[in-house]
Amino acid sequence: MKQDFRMTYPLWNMAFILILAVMSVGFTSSLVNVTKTDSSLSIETQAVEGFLLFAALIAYLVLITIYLIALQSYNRKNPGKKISPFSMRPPEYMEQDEGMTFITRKAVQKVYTFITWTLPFFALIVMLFPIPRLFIVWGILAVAFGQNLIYYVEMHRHLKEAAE
Amino acid sequence: MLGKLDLMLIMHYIMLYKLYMKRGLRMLKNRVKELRARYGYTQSELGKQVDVTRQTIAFIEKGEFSPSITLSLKLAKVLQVEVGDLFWLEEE
Repeated sequence: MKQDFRMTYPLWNMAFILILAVMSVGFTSSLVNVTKTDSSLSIETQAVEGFLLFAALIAYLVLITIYLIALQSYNRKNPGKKISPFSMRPPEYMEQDEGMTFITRKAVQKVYTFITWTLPFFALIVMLFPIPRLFIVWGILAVAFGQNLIYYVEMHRHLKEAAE
Repeated sequence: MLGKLDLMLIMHYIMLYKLYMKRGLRMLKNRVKELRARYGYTQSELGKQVDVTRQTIAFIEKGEFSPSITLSLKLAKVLQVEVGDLFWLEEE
């Protein structure tokens, strides 16, 4: 089960989110100057922001390449339960039988509870305080990170218990 | 905005929900592990015979998951007992 790509899927999401968080420093910094004309778009940043943006873009490309290779390998080994990277339904759901569906639902319920509380709370904070754009982006990414973390921890806990 | 009373009510409902969930999980008892051992099946072997994963058998044995009637009947058939002898409520 540890080798199951669906089990590790939230970890991939979390890695992508972390890279996006670094990338957002470059994109949302007040030092970034975006000039758009009819034919071109130029982005000027200070040295640190520019470096972070560039490094994050490279990291993102590297990670997405590794991800696609891993996904292809999983799909080759599991022709009966292929995962599509373009599926609307989150591929991390494990619903091969009623027991797995049960623990998946339990994990999803925890995520739902988390989202139900954090999003309105976050919206309230943003409305009440003059928060810089970067922190708003980080906040949204933190919610997305937390959602994946909760799901992974919950599923991992259940499957670990089942293995004992 | 939420008042003190609303917050207390929410906390109360959360506690009741948790209590209900705990009671729900503890209610159904079973002899799956015992009978599986008697017939010398591993969790995977038993799972294969009733078309579920090894993990689902483990969840049932631990009392973490209450199987459907269909799965209970399949398990009872493979373990050669009546459903009532395989699963029962804690109070009984």
